[in-house]
Amino acid sequence: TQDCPRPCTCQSLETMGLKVNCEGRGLTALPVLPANTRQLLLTNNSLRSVPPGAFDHMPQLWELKVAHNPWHCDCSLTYLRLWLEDHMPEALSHVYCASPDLATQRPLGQLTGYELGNCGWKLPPSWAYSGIWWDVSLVAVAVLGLILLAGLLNTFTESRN
Amino acid sequence: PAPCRCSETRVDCGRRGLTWASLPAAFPPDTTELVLTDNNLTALPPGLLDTLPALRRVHLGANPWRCDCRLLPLRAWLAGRPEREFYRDLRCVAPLALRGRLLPYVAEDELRAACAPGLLCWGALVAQLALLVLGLLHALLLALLLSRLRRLRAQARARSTREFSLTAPLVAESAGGGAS
Repeated sequence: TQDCPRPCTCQSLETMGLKVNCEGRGLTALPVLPANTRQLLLTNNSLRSVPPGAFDHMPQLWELKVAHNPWHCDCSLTYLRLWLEDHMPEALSHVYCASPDLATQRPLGQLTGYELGNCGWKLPPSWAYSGIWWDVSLVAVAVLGLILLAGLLNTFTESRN
Repeated sequence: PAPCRCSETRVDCGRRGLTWASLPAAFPPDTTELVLTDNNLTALPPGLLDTLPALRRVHLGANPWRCDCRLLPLRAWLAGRPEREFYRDLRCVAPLALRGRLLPYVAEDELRAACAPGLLCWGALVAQLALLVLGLLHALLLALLLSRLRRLRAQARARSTREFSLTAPLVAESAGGGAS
């Protein structure tokens, strides 16, 4: 099939759509997948995480096999967990974490939201940069005040002499 | 509610161009089915669905959902639904970074990060502005003190000049006495 991603093999299903087999290809990142994928096999690869929204363009996807991958179970895996919870809850007990230490060798389904890690609320970069300029202005004003104070003390000493 | 039509416990507010502002503030507490399809909703007022304990089904499709922190209540409500298949096709329209994402699978952190800076940030900005104003006031006061001290020094110099001019005649007299 023309849409089949390079490292995988595809076969058409009788009920329309594709079965995309990417098992055991040493993948470290998810390939670009066709929209009509219904079955996706990702077992026995080197995947550590899945980009958020990676399966959102495949509305017919109903079977996803992701076992035997070194999943890094932090906040970036929240998307995969939410997707599996909705479509294939039983699969969560077969997805094991390779890292971080808190989650090693524990099924993804057993991890609480806290244990999955919180990326924290990150300010948009543009906002953070503008905040820095405000701080720079404050420092400049403080330095200016100190210079004026030094000039004042110098003048006082001269007038006393 | 005014723009909607009710039949028993089904409230139909579909295709009425409703927005956040024009959405009814409350629905009958015994509502079991709510239709909000095909409106202009970017989010729902917080707690709107929580006031309907008998609610079994909400039709939310064909709305321009804006996936930022204002959508957290709806996102949390969806996460608690036992029947998920009705809500799998809800997509974000904005912001750009989350466009096309399926709402049930967007993490809460992503929604929070998509929001404009919150009250805490604006408070920090106001505090920084106040510090800047105080700093400028400090500099102004120092400049005034400096100019006043310079004026005092100028007056002191004028006095010493006058004392010097008063002693000149004495010197002249002693010089004349010496000659005679």
